[in-house]
Amino acid sequence: MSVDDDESGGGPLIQFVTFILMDEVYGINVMQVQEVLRVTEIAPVPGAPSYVLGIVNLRGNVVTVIDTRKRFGLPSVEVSDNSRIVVIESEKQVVGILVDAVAEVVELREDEIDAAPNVGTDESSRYIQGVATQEGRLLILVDLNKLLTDEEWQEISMY
Amino acid sequence: MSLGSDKNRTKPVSEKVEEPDHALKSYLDTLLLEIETIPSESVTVKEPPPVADIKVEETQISEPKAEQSTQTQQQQDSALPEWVENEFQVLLFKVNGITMGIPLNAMKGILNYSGEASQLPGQPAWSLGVILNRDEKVVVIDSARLLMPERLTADTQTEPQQLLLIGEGDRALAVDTICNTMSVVKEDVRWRNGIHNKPWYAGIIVEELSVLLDVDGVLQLLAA
Repeated sequence: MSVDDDESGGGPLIQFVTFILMDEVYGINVMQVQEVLRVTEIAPVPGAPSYVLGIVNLRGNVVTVIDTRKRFGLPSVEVSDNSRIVVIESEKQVVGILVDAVAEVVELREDEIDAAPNVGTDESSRYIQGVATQEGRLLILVDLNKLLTDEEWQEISMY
Repeated sequence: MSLGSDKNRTKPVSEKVEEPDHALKSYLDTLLLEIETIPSESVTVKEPPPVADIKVEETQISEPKAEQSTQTQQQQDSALPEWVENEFQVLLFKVNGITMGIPLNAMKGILNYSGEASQLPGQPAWSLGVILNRDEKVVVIDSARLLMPERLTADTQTEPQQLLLIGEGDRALAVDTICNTMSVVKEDVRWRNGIHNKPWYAGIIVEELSVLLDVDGVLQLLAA
């Protein structure tokens, strides 16, 4: 795939940071990624919703970490050496998402992004922005702003 | 005419009390009569009362303006709990393995807890029973069940070792262990925002990544 071809056709190039969750590859817009952290201490927060793993101290700022596997309806696993917290900035606020591993940055043209197959429920697929094929693998693009509902964004803003 | 003159001059005291309207009219009439005969200097002496009344009203008008500006500043201060000072002491403790903090000045004391408490029928789920402390009855609160029920499963077994006396000393938060105390300045805490639906949650002590309790909110929750 000629991702290095500039805007020669098919729309502008968009960069995505890809990460792994249960052997599937997901992508989020690189513009929304602030940084990637190794997993250190995640302090649990009493009373927090189930999809909140806890909070981390990022240079004096409290960042809420979302259990991405739980959010995506995937089984939980122990944190490994490859696990990372991707600190993202959505329209709503800055949060961290725990992922199994961070892979790479890929570039896609707009016309390479397809709509997600309509197989899941609206609830579970609302944060799927689209899909793309990369070297024979499906890349699932995530709309971070829809990772949580408005009520949920409001709820985690409390922490 | 004779009636009017009687009212103005020689009305008995008892009659004034029974008919206040007439008494007031009589008093004012008397003043008017006096003005006609009193030198102008005395008139100026009698003016201060209404002036004084006006000053009081002006003061009452100006005070709310000052309060409004103060209130605006307070609202911008992330709805801080009322007890927050620039610097305060916090006791750190663990409940269900999670470290939390409580302002020392909101506590009445610490007791060791043997796990024994008298069970009263009809108590809420968060009540572990009642103990006696210096002949005073103290309700022991299952802090884990009150503050973090979502983290409790059927297998969860907490064995609190200490009690933190709060309120008037008649409520006690059962905690696993007491860790240490620390001095906290206001800026060390990420305070709750105004929309928080957990009254016991004051904020997070950033350095410790620990929730700071708002004891007033805990008591509010217990009273609900």
